[in-house]
Amino acid sequence: MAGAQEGQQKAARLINDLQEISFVEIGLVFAGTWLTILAARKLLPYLAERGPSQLRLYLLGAVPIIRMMLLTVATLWVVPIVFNITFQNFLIIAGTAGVALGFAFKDYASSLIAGIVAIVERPYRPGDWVEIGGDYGEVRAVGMRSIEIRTPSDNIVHVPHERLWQHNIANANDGARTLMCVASFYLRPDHDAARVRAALRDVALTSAYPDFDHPVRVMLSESRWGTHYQLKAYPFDMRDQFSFISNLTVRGKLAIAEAGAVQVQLVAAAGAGDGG
Amino acid sequence: MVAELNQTVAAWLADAAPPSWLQVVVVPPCDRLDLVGSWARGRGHRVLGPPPGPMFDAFEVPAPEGLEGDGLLVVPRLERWFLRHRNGLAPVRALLARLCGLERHCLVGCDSWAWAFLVKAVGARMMLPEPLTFTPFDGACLRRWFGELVADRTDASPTFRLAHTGDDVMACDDEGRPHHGHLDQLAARSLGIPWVAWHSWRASLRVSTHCDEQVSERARAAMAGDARTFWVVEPNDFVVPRHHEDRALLVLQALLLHGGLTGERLADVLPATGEPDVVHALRSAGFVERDEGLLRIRAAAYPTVRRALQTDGYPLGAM
Repeated sequence: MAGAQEGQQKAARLINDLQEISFVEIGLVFAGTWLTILAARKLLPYLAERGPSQLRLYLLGAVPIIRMMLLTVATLWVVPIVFNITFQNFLIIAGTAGVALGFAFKDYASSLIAGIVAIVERPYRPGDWVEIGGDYGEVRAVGMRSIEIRTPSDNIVHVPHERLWQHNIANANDGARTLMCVASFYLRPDHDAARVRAALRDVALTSAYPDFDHPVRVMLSESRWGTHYQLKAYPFDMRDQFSFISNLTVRGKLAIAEAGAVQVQLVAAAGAGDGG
Repeated sequence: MVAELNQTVAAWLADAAPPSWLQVVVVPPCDRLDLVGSWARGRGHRVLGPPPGPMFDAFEVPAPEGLEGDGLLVVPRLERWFLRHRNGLAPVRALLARLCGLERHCLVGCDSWAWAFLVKAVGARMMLPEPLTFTPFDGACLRRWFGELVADRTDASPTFRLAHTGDDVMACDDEGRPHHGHLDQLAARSLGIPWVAWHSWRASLRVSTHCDEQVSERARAAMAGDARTFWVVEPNDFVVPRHHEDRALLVLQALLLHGGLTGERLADVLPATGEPDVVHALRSAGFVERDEGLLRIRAAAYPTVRRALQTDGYPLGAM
């Protein structure tokens, strides 16, 4: 009878006796986890930048996955050391944590959960080029609460994962090594369109940057500003995208002039009325 | 390789109505000797040289004329028929269109890097048949070839020993197989390309001197009975100019693609970024040499160049 009572008391206890908790073990688990995550965050990007470009995205993408796995293992390791885990106690802990997070750290918790979802669903990975809420850039790091984007202007933008719930995320390469680059030209309509189209195609084919596993396309449409040409091609390394677009633009202008066509001016407002 | 070319072409040439009037031979890069052209000239075949420079400045060019006739027509260097310039594809397009309509035997030689480019840029594989290429050289081939070269030039047969162990790299076991794997490694490093292997081999040879620090005591002891000893050392690796790696790789790729370019034409095919010229630095570092007015990749540097381009994700040559 006394043994059963003692068992019930023990089961009802939420936290283990301080004498039973190994703080050294907890400290070692946290320190080991932190050091391993730190090593992965430093080492893998280092290797990604210096190793073969084919492996770059795999190495960068491994960082958040490794971190999530390590944190999960550390949590599963530490919780039984501190808490007396029974079904009853699990409900108490979960309820308390839910209330605390719901009131005090709602946004933070939302970002943390969205971060886990992002690792699973992969709307962005380190090394991807994404646009979120008007910010376009390369995902430098995927943290627990937010991602770090480096824009072409070398600004670092921190975007919380919770934006995932309500905003569209445009991912230009989606884990691939390349992405589509587009050079736009607006020409006065009175020109030989077939000649210009062929010339622009050769401009892309003879550039130093294209990836020939993807097609080169020239699309044209009439707009209120003139004939709009879009020269679309993929660089072999997406890090060259701005060099590639610049190269297409410089050489495209020469090819257009040689083809006897004239670029229109006043294109600053073209974006607003392109469809008209 | 010449014998291989003869053997390959002989049966096709003898056929008065072959399934295809065209044959393509893809040649490994850094072919300074113009293997296909030399072969054709040596046998009196008609050789079609590259178009003049101004042809690469026009968007449209006339098709080559006067190609009809009997006998074999050889286009030895298809890589000379295009320029990676906005107007530089017209000559090769005109040539390929003309060759497709010919009813005479025509052999086209093309550098492997240029072939990979032309397949994508002008659809060369749709107009030309599946290309042939040479059998890559392995360690045994290299041993036989190097042995013949030495026998042709010297009376006393020298011994080639690794500087750090003294092993004779040309020695064979009882079954005639190379005793040491050095030449197999050399063949692999050279990607089976004989002239790349030969240049790398030459760069790794040292004449025996007692003050040479690269020769170990053990190796010196092994040379006691040699008539003449050459020491085989690890050649110095090539280093891309620091802080200008991107530009340097663009230059190296352009030179490989065209099999060599003049300085002016090189500027035409590179992106105009305003960055400093790296050609001088590449020549100093041993990557590039000037030969008959053309800047070319040195054969000994080719494995390093290919590795660097592959690491950076560049499209590579296809064999």
